Amino acid sequence: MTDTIVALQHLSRHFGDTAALLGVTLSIPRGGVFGLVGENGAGKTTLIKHLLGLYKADVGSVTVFGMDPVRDPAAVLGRIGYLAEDRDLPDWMRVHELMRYTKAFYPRWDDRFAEELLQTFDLRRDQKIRTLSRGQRARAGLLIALAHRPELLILDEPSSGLDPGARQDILAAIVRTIADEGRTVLLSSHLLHEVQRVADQVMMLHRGRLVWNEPLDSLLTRHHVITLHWPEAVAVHPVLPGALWWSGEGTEWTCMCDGEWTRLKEAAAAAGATIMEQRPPSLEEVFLARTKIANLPEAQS
Amino acid sequence: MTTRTVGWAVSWEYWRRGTMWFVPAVAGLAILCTTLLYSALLWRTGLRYADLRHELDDGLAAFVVLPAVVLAIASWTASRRNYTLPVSTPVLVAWTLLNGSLASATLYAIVAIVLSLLLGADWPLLVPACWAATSYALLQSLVWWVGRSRGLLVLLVGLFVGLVAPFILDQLRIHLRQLDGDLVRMAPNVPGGMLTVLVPAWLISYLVSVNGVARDRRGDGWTLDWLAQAWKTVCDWGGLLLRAKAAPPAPPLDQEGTGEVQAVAATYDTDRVPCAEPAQTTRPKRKFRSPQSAQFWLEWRAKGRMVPLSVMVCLAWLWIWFSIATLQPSDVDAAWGGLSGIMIVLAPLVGLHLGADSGQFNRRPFSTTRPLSDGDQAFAVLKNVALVVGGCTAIWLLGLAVTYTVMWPDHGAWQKIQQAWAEGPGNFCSDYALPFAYFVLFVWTLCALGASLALARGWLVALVGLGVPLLLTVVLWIASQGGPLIETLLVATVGSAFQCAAVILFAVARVLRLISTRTIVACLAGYVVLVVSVPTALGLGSSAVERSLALGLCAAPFIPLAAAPCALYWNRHR
Repeated sequence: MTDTIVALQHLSRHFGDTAALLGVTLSIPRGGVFGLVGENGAGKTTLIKHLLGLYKADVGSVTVFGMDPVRDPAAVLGRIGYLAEDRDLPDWMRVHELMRYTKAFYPRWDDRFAEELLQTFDLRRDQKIRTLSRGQRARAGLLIALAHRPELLILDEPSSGLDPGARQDILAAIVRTIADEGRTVLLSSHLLHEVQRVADQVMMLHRGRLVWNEPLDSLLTRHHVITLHWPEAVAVHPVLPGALWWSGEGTEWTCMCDGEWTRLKEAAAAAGATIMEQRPPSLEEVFLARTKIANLPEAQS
Repeated sequence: MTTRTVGWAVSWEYWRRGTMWFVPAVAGLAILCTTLLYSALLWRTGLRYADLRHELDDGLAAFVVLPAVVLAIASWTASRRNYTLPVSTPVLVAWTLLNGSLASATLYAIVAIVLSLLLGADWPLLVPACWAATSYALLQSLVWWVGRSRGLLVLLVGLFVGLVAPFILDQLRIHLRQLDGDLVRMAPNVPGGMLTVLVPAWLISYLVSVNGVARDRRGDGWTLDWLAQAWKTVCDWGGLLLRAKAAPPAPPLDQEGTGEVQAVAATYDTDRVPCAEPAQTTRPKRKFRSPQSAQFWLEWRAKGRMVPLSVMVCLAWLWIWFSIATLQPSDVDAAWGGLSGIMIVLAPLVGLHLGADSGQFNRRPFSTTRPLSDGDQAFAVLKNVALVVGGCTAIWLLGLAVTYTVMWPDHGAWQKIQQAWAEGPGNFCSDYALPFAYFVLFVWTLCALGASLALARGWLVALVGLGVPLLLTVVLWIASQGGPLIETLLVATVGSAFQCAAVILFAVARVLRLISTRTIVACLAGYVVLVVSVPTALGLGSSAVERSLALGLCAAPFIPLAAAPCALYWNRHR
């Protein structure tokens, strides 16, 4: 059994003139939660669809569990649990019919776990899918994605449009899934505080390119939000190594920096400033700073 | 925003969201099927072209009803996207109905004009177009009025096809009988008497539509509350009248509630439509034998079973019509012939419905992410098509048998069938069973090709709907212009095209591992059986051209078995 369950090599995909993915090389090892973040249109769903075999690579290769998902969809999809962004379920089915139907495809379907999830999610067996609320549909989708204990769980925007209760259920399900040894979760989400709560590793796509792929801890450790104080008002903030953004005015300025803490301290002292406060940033702050920089005209050129 | 602007906006949205492609595509498919059917009929009977021209007139009825059915079902839920517009329901409904009526009339007109050019159908334009527009309005109002209930939708479409459509056909036939000569038939005038039927029918449709759409816009479902209320009012009035006649002393209001108060309360409770309490208990269901059987179940439950059910309901309404109307056996023959014709013309459209995924041609994530190979998913669709064709055929045959046995046992055609049966299975098989089996195979081919097309990407459906009739028109035009040599070449090309398509599709499917060797062998065996039996049954000569055509036609029923997996592969993995 291979330790790398997903391997993308120089994956590129174009839709007409628009580049959805550009030379993405990525490998996801077995075990852990991987957060996939990016702006709208960054290529997250396109990447997920390549993993599911719904898109063929223009350039490069995709292997999941060592197989090509386009050549062998049944074998690959049989080991994946997938919750689609649009909660696409057959409206005419009842919940128990959905479970019975889905069970047929997965030999490892766990009836007891399914029943447990049914109760946890407060779904009734006789309810028709079309009568379910958005949150209940998400729970029903999650139920069928989880009940066969997939080796890879792919959640595409699982929390969008959901109330805190439903979001909590989804997060709990992720935690539950990773509690099973060797399971992997790929979570694509706009809600970065949720990604930060559960992810071990974060990947950021920006305009089709993979701009980060590193463990969350190391990402947050090497970024700092610092508040600097000058004895006299300064009109323009100084240049600090690794500074990503600045805010403030007069004598007090706040900046986010990417770099070694001791070097930053020395640079601040050299600029005549005192460090008033230092704290680690949230993932959302890092994301916003990075996106802002990536969207600057000079960065694009 | 003025009414004119709203009207233009709603009209623009109506045509732009797909009707402008849908109308010619449906017309194209209908023309294609009619031409194929007509050509097959000419070929089968060996009659001359001119001898069969009058047969086309039976098809006129089908093309007046077809636009109504297709457009009304296609617009079943489409108006919901406009509910949030700041437009009043009467205005919204009026413009949608107007545009739909125009689309329906246009659809009929396209078919009538093209078939007149191609086959010399010489159908009148204006009067049937008006009937097509009104039929659409009638059916659309019924469809909107039932709201979201699929069961009622099936019932009402069945009612329309079985009861209203024959009435319209009858009216058309009367109208055509009154007209003498081709010049008068094409004259652009609508009889005044007919207007007194059409205009009120359209207005009633409008009022019913406004009621249905307004209710749906409020978010209310279709219930029988209003019926219960009406019944209660009638009972109350009846009770009052009876009491006024008998004039009994009014009973004292008892404090304990043991007298009439309790009885009235009990009556009230029984009259009320109870709130639907969802049942908590479920029957334990069997497990599916395999993923393939689960997928087949999904196809059948989601799309398949509606089709034989609709045929059954249509049949039930037809019997009611047969029972209440004074009909001659020739009228019954015409009705059966017309409705059978509708079914054949509808076969590719039914195929499109069976192949589409929840009403969409582009596959949705739920079905594409099932862990099932492309071949297995496509075969589940084809199995569903086979069951639908088989089921509808069985129901239709049963209906035919019951109609003639119960209502017209002395009918000549029915007695001939009984006589053939009495003479022995050999005669019966050669005279009736085999031709009928070929006919079913023909319907299967149309339906399965439609399903295979729907499994491919959405734009291909429109392209084929428009392109194939165009190609056919060009081919027929070339055939009519050229001499026998050109005609021979074209026939040989058609035969070779079918054979080449079959070989290429099977080869592609095999290379992509979408089809098993066992299936290919079974198809080959079936093909050999057809090649041996079909030319004899159809009375084909031994010339190379006729042989080539026969070989091509025999390959056609097997093409979907390779085309469907290839189409799904192409659609699923983009």
